[in-house]
Amino acid sequence: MIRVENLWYTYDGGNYVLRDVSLEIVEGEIYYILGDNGSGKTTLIRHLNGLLKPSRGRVLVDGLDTRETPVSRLAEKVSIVFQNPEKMFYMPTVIEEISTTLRNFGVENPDQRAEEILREYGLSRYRDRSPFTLSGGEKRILSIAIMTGWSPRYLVLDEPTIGLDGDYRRRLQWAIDRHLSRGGAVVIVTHDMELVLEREGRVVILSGGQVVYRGYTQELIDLDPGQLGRYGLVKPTYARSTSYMKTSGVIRDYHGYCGVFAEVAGVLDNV
Amino acid sequence: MYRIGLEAFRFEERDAALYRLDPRAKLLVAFIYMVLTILVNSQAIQLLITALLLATLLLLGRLGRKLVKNLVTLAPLMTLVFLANYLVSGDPMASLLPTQKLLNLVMSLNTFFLTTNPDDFAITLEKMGMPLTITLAFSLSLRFIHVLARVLTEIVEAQLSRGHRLDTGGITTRIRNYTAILIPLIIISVRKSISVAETLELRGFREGARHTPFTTMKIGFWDVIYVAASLSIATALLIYGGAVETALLEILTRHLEYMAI
Amino acid sequence: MKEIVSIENLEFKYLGARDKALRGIDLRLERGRRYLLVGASGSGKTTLARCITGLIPHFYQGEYSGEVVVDGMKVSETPIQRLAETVGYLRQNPEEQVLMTKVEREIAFSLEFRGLTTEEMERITRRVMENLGISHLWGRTTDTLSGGELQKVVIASMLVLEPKMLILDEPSAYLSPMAVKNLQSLLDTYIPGQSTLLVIDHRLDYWIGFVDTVIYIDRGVVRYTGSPGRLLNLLGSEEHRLNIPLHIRLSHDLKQVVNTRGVNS
Repeated sequence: MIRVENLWYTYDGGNYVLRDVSLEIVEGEIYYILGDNGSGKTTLIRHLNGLLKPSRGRVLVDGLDTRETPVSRLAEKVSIVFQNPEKMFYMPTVIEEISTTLRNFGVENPDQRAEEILREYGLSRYRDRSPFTLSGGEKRILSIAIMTGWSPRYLVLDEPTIGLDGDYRRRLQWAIDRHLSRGGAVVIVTHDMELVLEREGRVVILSGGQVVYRGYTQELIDLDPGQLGRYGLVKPTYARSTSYMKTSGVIRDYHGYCGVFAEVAGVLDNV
Repeated sequence: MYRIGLEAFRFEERDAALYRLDPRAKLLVAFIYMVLTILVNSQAIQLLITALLLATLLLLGRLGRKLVKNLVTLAPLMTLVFLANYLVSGDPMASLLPTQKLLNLVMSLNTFFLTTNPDDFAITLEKMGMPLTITLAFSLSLRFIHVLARVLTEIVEAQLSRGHRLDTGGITTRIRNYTAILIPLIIISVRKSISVAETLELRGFREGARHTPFTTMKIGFWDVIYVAASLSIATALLIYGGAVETALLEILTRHLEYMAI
Repeated sequence: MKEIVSIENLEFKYLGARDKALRGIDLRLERGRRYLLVGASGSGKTTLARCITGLIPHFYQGEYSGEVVVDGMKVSETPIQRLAETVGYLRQNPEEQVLMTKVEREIAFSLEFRGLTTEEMERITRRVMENLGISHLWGRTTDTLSGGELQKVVIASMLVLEPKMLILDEPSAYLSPMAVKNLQSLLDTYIPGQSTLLVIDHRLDYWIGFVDTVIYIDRGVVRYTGSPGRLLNLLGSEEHRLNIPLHIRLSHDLKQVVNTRGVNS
């Protein structure tokens, strides 16, 4: 479990970018951190593996205080996939990019394991290409493949769907589901409401560095659009139709409906 | 600790007298102080110059906090200069002089760079007859140094998250760790510079094109006063340096005696 | 002349690239209409925009054939600077499109090369800023702006030249959904009816209600041009690499099921 306790943070000693944020991240659950640009989302996730240390309050990862634990030790538990994959690539080939990270975390048979990961993520045909020559979607999937290779317990994804289309989006979904099914926790920072409503999970909305909303994904459907708008968010169309179904008595509650929508669409795609 | 901070050297808008002066006047004064610092070899007078510059930055520029950050960042360099001189000369007082000079040079530059936005700096250079290509290169690099500093921070963060240890291991591990930072940095810098070149094209910039800057600059009353005051102080110190030094030393010794008693 | 852009049999291969980025593009864009250009990443969307703005073939070299005519000018024979007066091009990362420290200088930058007086430049800049509702940003430093503000400043810096067409490349990538909505209402109220808009975005759900025509491009070939509604029917029947919004996929698929099996089966 990750415990964020009364976290305050300032970059320059003056303005607090995070103000008294408390949060618990439990294994097996998915968390969505939402909020407008500049609300403190990315600052918050940088605390989870100790890249940033709290100005006040503390962050405990499986009981380890991030102020007293080296980043390398925390990174083994908490894997953060940042928005721009290009900032992490430096090896000449895709396969080495994966195996070098496995070695960093002391995974056994890193080379063999890297080959397996390539296959799992459908990247085998890029094995010997330079990561920089891949397309945007391929780069992002590769960055996720790299960052999940050693089976970290917590997976943090920063805006994972930007520039990700069609097939790559499905592979992202697959990676998230697999991580959850193995008992890990997933934390997603995103603006993509469709991604949020596809699974049932917990939602935390930040605004001006403070937690302004806590709840579950299905509850977002009932939130007033004006209130969501203040946090920079817009409901997707189908959320409005689900909401209509409830007021007209077709369904009794939203429980499970978000996921059901996605599932039905998936099933029908294959009819 | 890995955060790459250039904040201490960065221009930030502020409502203070020094910010409102014409950049050309500020550049001239900075230059006067630099010449003075280089020419003067008396430690007492260097101390006086430090005091003058401090007064200018604090009173006219309201730069207290920023100046502290700025000097703290430069402290290792100044210590290094001091130690190097001390090792050669073995005389701690004599080794102080080059350190003082460095401090004063930095503060002279601060009176200009911390208070002048890069756009105005570019126009100043243009008015002095430099071609637009060069002045733009100046202001763009000043702007992008900060962008690249941020990119660098993010690269370091990404690599630390991948389990890289930046400051441990043998030589080969260390070299490998630094390539992990350098390669993405180089590739992203190249991409960014191509993108900026694209922007220049799309915004109508052409080499040798006729250019009318949007901001006009006018030398005002206070600019003249600022330059005249600094110039007279500098001249006085250069000409009557000896007398001033004796007077200063006398005051200082009397203070010291007083404290000793 | 009804068209603002007319492209005939355009092919382009970047220097050193293995495959052609564009293969036999034929396209006409009419004045005053709004277009959405969609396609998976790497399908040639940005390359096409570069061909309209003149960055190809003047800035990016490669094998170029076919013809692009923008507002009566042959792109291959017109300098980028001249084309920029007709087509404003907002690219992906606003940060790399900002050249100056002060907001008003940034917006006025293009005007500095047109032999205008300072007063004229200031008048135009103030008017554009007022129109976009960003007058309060006058005097601010560009790196203290939020993503949405910065994007408006970049748009303003193109609008000072009064272009007849705007191209926005992935405008939603750096914005929250609400900021995208704000951008749309800004485009709605400010962009005059006569100007043409070409939005490049892989987020169909954001733009589908906003545009008249969708152009779908895949691996350098235009696969579809027409109304958004018909695109979705077409995509239902073939393999594609797009993100179709969930509700549209759902209604489309249900229709298919009903049609093939009947309501009662």
